[in-house]
Amino acid sequence: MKRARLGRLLGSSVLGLAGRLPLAWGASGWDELNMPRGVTSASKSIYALHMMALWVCVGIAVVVFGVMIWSLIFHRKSRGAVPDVTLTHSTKVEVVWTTVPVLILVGMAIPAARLLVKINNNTDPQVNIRVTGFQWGWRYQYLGTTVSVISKISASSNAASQLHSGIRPTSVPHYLLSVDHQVVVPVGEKVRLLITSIDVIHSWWVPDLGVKRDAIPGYINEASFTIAADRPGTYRGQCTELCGRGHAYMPIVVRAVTPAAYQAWLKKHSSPRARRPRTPRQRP
Amino acid sequence: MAELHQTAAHAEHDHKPHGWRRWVFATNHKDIGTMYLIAAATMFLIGGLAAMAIRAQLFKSGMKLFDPTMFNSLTTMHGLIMIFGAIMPAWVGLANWMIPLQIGAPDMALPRLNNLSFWILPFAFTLMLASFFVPGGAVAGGWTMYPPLMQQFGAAFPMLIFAIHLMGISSILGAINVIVTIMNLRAPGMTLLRMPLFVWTWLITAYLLIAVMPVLAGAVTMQLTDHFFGTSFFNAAGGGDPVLFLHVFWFFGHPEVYILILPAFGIISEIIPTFSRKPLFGYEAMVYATASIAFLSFIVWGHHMFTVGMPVAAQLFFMLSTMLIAVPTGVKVFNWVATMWRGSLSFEPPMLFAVAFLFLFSIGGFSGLMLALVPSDYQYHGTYFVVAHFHYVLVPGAVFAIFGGVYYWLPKWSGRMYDMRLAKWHFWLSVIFVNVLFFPQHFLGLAGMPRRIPDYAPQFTDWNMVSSIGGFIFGASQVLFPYIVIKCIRSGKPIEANSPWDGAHGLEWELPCPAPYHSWQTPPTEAMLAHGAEH
Amino acid sequence: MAPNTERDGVNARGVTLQQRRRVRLTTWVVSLIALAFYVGFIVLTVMRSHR
Repeated sequence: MKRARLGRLLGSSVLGLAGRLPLAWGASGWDELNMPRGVTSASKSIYALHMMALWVCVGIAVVVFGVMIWSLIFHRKSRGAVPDVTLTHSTKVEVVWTTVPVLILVGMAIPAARLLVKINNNTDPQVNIRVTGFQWGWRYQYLGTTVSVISKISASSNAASQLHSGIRPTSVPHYLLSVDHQVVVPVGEKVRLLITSIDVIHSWWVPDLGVKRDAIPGYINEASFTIAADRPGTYRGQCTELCGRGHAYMPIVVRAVTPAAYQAWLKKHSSPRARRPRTPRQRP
Repeated sequence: MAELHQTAAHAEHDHKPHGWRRWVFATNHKDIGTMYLIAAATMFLIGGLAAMAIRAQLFKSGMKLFDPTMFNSLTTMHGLIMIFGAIMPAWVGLANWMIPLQIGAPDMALPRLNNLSFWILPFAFTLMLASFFVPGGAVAGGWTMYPPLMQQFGAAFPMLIFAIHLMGISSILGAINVIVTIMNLRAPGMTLLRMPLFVWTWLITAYLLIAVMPVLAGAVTMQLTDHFFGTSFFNAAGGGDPVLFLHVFWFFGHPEVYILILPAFGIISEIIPTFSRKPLFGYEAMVYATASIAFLSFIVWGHHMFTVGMPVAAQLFFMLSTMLIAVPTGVKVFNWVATMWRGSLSFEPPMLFAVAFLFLFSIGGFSGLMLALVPSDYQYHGTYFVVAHFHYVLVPGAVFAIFGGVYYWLPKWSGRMYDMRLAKWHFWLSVIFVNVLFFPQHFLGLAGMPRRIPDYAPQFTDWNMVSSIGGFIFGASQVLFPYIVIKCIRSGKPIEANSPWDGAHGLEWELPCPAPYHSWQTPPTEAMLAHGAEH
Repeated sequence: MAPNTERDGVNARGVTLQQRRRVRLTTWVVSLIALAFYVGFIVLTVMRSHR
């Protein structure tokens, strides 16, 4: 009985895998292989740096592995290769293979350092949001307003993730990547996050925004992003610091809207007389 | 002279104690080395079972074999078991066996301390594994043990900390023994710059252990007092600082990863010249490169925590110091390649593992270089890209070097040759499926899958399945290893010559096979030293 | 440190008197280094932790 189920599971998975693999090489499948370009200037620059580093590594690999493979093929004992036992030292070669890597590293470090300084510039934000991680969800407070959003995993994902739920993850829209209340931000405006935590260390990450910053009790970390004005949309991420049982179940969903729509949303959800900030209505 | 020595050695053979006393009261470096290796292999299998469970849980999206807390316990214990239970004891075992043979010493300098440092380990491992069965289960906060999460676990928490204390004491005692042995018991004429590279890398590793194991012990002790005695070292509510733990932990943690890999560099530097039939290229450069890597390992810890919000200047410093490590590491790889260049290569199992090490460790090095770039690290940090990176340097890096070392020296230990064909099977299965297992994890990390999660979004299923299938086959093929070793010891073909490898140099190959129970009680002659010194 | 060249006071294990003396000295030095790191890091942490 059990074995049959395991067999069926294996069979279906292997078939499913075979069916889906070609997709990985199609246009849509690229996302399964590489870092997303994202929708902020930071994320696009990070993508460019990542690709540059990747190609530099590929280049070095081709040269080094090329020499190794040459040796493995042509300097084999079975081919009658005679060892050149005098070849034990060469100052010239050693100087070259010390200095050339240094130059390559300097070439990589300069753009990386420039970008690092650039994306850590958190001055002059137009929107300030305090992000508080907790076990297990996120609270977003829009500074200077009364709006506050408590964002937890969506009911449908939560139900499907339970032990013995019997719900297939693929039948749930954005399984483990959807929340009950999304955080709304304007496109084209600089948003600064002030990130902290009330219990253990969490980490706020949305790949498309190029932002990952730890939420640490007793600390307020800063991060900022500006979503390109032509890229309104929904961007999803997850907690990336192990924070206990619910670590996999505290997603982040950012909905980027036009500044006008953002103002309208703020107005709708703020209550000037209320002492306690209200949470907006459930949004699937 | 050599004959005289051999007859003397054979006479000594009879002094071997018998029965359980031989092992419990062991002071012979070979017996202790054997016990270390057996302990390491046992823990490797247990840690491997945890890894199989993890890969089973991650086979597809929505898989629910384990409760999330149990899954977190499995990842935590997998990491701790593999680092402290498998790789480190395997290195100490190899050090025990090989350092006295390679420097011409009769034994380790402190044989009774050696006994103590081994016999602490079974208690430490028992304590650590027993924590699975206490209420609340094993610690589930990751092997990095970050507070405040670490403070949330029950009875397993002090058990793990005491286990770490014990393993730390064992490592420190072992390291003291290695340093003292190498500094004082070298044979006449064996100057520091004539020592084999395995001895050199272990000497440097031992200094790293001396420097950082106390730091780990201090850090976990402070967590213990935070939990039970009301201190607030890392408790923000009491005025403490959780990030401080990260700094202290990684000040230990980064040298620790070099503790796991430097002896591997040493073994590879022994194997490649032997099977290239050519002396190691740039011996002195190798020594200095190892020392530079060890020095740099103390000033790069911040690269494990680029997202905690360090000042930009600090991030810049840690990025540059980390990139600098690529230079001496590159020198080592280039030297190995130059050793093979215009050699006369043959591909016995030790060499196969060494060549695989060169390729796959380099891939781990490349992803390490990418991770050093802080802006990119903001995207990589805490994802499967990091998991792929460190498994590439630890599995086809450290573990393959251990396999290579065992296949290289097993004939010397046992006096018998193992089944070459089976060992090649072990190699090919390992090298193919280690890549099937870990290469897709690069894709998963880049596509956005965080590490240490028991369940994931459906778009990550394809590569997780590939990875799991690779993992199961890789795991299953490791069963070949103990089988090959046991079969060799029981019924391998006896070796007549001092060395089964025609290209091998070094004092250990001046001794008969198997190495006599008491070796080098008369120091090796200058002629032996000259023959052994290939550099 | 140069390896020993004299063979005075060789014990049953083949270790000379000079080596045994130096083993004792080195063991003390290395142990003290380890102890210094242990105490040093706790002191540093205490200083840093309670600002």
